[in-house]
Amino acid sequence: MTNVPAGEHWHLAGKASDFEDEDVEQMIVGNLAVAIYRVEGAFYATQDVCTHEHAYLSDGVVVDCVVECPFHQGRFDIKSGKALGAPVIHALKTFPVEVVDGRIYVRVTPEEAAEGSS
Amino acid sequence: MKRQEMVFDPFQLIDKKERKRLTRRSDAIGLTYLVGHFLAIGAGALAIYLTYGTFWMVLAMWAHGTVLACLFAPMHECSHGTAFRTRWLNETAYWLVSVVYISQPTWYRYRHAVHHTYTQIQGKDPAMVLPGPTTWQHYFEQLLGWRFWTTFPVVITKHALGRMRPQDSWYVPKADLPRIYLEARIMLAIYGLIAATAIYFGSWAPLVYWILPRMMGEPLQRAWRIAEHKGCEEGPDVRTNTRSTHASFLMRALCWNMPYHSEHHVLPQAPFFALPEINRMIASELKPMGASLLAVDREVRRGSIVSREEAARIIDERKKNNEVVDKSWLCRLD
Repeated sequence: MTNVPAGEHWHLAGKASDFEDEDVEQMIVGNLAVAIYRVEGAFYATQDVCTHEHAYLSDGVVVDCVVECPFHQGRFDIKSGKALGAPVIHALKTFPVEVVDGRIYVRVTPEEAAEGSS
Repeated sequence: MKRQEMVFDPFQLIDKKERKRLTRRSDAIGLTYLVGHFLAIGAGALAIYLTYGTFWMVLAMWAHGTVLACLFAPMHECSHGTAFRTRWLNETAYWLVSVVYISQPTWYRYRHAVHHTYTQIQGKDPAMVLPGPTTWQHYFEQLLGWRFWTTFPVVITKHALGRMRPQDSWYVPKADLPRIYLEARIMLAIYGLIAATAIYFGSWAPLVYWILPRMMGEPLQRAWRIAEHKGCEEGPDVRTNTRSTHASFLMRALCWNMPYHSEHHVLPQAPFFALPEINRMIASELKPMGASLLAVDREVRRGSIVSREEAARIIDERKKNNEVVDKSWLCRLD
């Protein structure tokens, strides 16, 4: 039997071995696009749509613990979602991530999945 | 505007794995170019000093000014955050270059972001160079960069006083206005201090080594800026609205590879040193490269410039058709 994280609303995002360092990939949960990152061996998740103009951060660049939007190079801290300066000012929503038996799980509630944008 | 709603998504041209490789930045390469650029500026200043009072001084000022004006290239590169891998290095260089080049960093970053969203869309692209119809007067004003010197002081003073021009308000979020106003005050204080020091000591140095050469050196970098988009389609497709142009090694170095402009618009998160490789990968998918700066300039002059009467007629016709006519010439500020 496959182990999963304790609690509800965990969604399988992929295999940890499929990610190289400074990789970012997209997963869709309901209406919500989530960006999954691997940075320095750890995994993180944020909303995938930039808060500046509509573009997917999963198409962007990861440098250390910062993701940069592919459209206008707005930058966000991956761990906190904090916007790091012009042209972005609004933070990203972040989501809990756990890796169990080499599988990445992201916790997204049904409300978040319904309200999110993709 | 959604990036995915662009008439053509340029990411189709390069797969994700390649994009990751091509977007890696380098502090070493960035520093090499930046130090090289400032060494060239130092050499230009030395040449002016050595030729002071002779005819050759004019030539030295022109050459020095050309290198100074081409600081637009690292300023633009830093605005994208692609000049260096290390962020504080990028932002420090951005400030330094912006002060010397005379441009407001955060404001330029917002303006330039909009330019990438609405490239070549009249009324939307605030950095659109010579939106048509273009007359000889427009062309020479742009090439010589005259309007910069009369407009930028007014704009930065307005910002320092806490005011934003209506035509700029739509693309700058209110939350970031205080930062732009503070930057304007700091920059005016720096320029004021330089001017006051020069006046106190009775020195012409800022004019002789900085402002006058910069004015003289405008045409080359302005010609490159014209070549990037003018005469290309006024529409949203990156394959047709932007032009790359063949350039010599020296020119590419001085302009931090910006003659590969189509490639820059395809992948703006790629650092300048990756642009030649991107060109080799996808040039066949893009607008054919200009043969040289002179060839593109000739093409622009022959194909895009109309008489004043013809320009007036075109504008009237557009107004009748409720089309946008952008005659605000915001581009001259950059």
